[in-house]
Amino acid sequence: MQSFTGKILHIDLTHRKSWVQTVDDAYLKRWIGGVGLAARLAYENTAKGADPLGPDNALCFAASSFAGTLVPVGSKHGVAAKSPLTNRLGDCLASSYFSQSFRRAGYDGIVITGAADKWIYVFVDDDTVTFRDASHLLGKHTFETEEAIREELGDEAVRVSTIGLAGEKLVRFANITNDRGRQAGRTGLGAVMGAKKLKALAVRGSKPIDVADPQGLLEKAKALTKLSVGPKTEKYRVMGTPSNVLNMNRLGVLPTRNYQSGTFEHADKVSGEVMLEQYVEKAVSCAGCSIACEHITRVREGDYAGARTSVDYESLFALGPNCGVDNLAAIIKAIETCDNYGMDTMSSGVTISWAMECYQRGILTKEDFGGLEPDWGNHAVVIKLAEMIAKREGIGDLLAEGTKRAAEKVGQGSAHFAMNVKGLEAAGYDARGFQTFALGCAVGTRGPCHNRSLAYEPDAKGEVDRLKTEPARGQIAKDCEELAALFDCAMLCKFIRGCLKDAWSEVSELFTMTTGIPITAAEMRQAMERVWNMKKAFNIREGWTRAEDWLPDRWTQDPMPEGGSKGAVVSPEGLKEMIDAYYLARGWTPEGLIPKDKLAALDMADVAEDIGV
Amino acid sequence: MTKLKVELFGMARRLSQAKEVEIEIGDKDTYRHVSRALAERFPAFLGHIITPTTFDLLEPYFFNVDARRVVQDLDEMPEPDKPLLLFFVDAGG
Repeated sequence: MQSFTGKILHIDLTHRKSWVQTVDDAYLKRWIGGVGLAARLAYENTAKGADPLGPDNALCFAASSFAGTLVPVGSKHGVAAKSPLTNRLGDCLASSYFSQSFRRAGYDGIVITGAADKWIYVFVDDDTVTFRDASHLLGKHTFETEEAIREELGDEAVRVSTIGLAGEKLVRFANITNDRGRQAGRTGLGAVMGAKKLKALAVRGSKPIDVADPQGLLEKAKALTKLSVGPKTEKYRVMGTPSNVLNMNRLGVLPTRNYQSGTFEHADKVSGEVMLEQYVEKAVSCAGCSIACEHITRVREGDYAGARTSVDYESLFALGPNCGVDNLAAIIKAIETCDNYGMDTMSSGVTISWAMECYQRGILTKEDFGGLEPDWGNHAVVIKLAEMIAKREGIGDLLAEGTKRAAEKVGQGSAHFAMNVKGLEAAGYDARGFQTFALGCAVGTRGPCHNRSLAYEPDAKGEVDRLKTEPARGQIAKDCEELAALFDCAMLCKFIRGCLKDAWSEVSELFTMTTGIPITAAEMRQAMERVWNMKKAFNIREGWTRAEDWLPDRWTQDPMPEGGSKGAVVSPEGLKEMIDAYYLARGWTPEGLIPKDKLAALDMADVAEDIGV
Repeated sequence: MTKLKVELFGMARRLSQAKEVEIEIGDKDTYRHVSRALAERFPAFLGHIITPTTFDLLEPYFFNVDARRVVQDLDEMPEPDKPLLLFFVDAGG
């Protein structure tokens, strides 16, 4: 093989030792890389029933064969472990220089097990692994920690994945941050790191990354790079993802006041257009990216002067309209607060909005909030609550558990509007107005995720009637999941997907050009089906049942009150039919379990015993 | 001739500096005529949002009728009583 090394670095924090496992071409062809490889490593190295916040939960980083090569928008890595938020597989990805660095150190994956007895960080310096005291880094923000470690090691080329205070405090939606703002977010893997008393993973890699077909790759990469700076990605380059605010608002799917509405009356004040005109300082890119979608914003005056961070649509919706906030400067400050503490902005915003609705309905009182008055739109309180969550202060200790656990504790009907599936807070698209996506949200292995299920696309692009359910959506949702998996495992930014005429064949070709491992588009499709089944098998092993594949009551019981999706609700009968059809399309049993012959067909019979078939 | 309201989003709004425009259409005009009229009004759309030769919409742009229905064929007849959105939707990363 080329590009890949076939080496998986294992780091045992309990005993402070490391060793290298070798894997072969066949293994890498089965799991491809990124999220697929990380999920498989998590399955192999995490004991059944492991406490997500205990030493037996393996935290797994996995490379892509594209990172550090000429392939544009391909410098990404996957991370997986059992999620402390969902108790199911948590899989996420991040981008940029860290993704390249651990490949240059010579590894396709890094598996971290055990737990340290005191706070440390691990430094992987090519073939050498050292365990270093991190007590002086405790409490530091994510970006500060990166810089402090670089300074301590005396090398700007060191790349760092770190947690902030939220990870230290085991906030169940803490992120792992690298390269000043790239987040392995969702599902709380930062808390897994925190539970291991691992403040950071620092890597210095100095080895070359060879590819199998340099000339072919050069030509392909040039063509792809040219496409990536054309009209199909212009909106990302010029405006970034916040350009979605007004679109989603017009469709009536912009989550507003904890998904009570899909229309925000002040959307014009928090739009991508306003952000670009008033707050964007510059656009930057991840390593090896030609698109540069990341828009760094800075607040120059007023109460939040000095706030500076990158803003994406998902962060903006969650801490803005979904909390009733129409002050873009305050939203930037709230996002910066989450980023500094290393906290998922989406889960933070949706959990805060749940608390605000509890206050609206008198379920939680001013006293519960320590004297704060979290009325809709009170941006100072939103920022304060984000800080309290990270520090687990006051009501922040409850909210740090996420909406599912918080609603279970508070009761009084608050679960009706706790907007999560399997414990993961929902994304920035009200599923009542995107009903293929509603199915994707219900059945997603990590919860309701736009990045794992691209099923909002057929809804938004009018390929189906977005406001109704039908069994045919089962196959569509499956296809969307596997297309998303292709980008998450081979690892290309999904923003380039519109530039590919046939993603399956083009990505397969790139995989072969980099690794030298022959793979057809059909084999790649099967690999993505295998990855999805791997993630499902992880969940089944952990006790998953069909009841978990469902939506929050708000989406199945409360019709959308206004706007472009007025009257829409996901009918429970229709949702059940779609789920049945989805299981059928996947070749699963009516209970959603994977039959033995399906496992055999996907060359993963080894998990049969684990999942009881 | 009737007037059709077209709402602009994203790059279309940025390039035109307009939130919405009114386009005059004849009885037999199609959405392709609307696209052409938009390109005439805002030449900056050409090559960014609208194909100069055919007046097809470039990916990822499309027309949506009043947030309820996506126009699948530019040779369809417009519905003048409903606003037309010049739209795009993409997410992920």
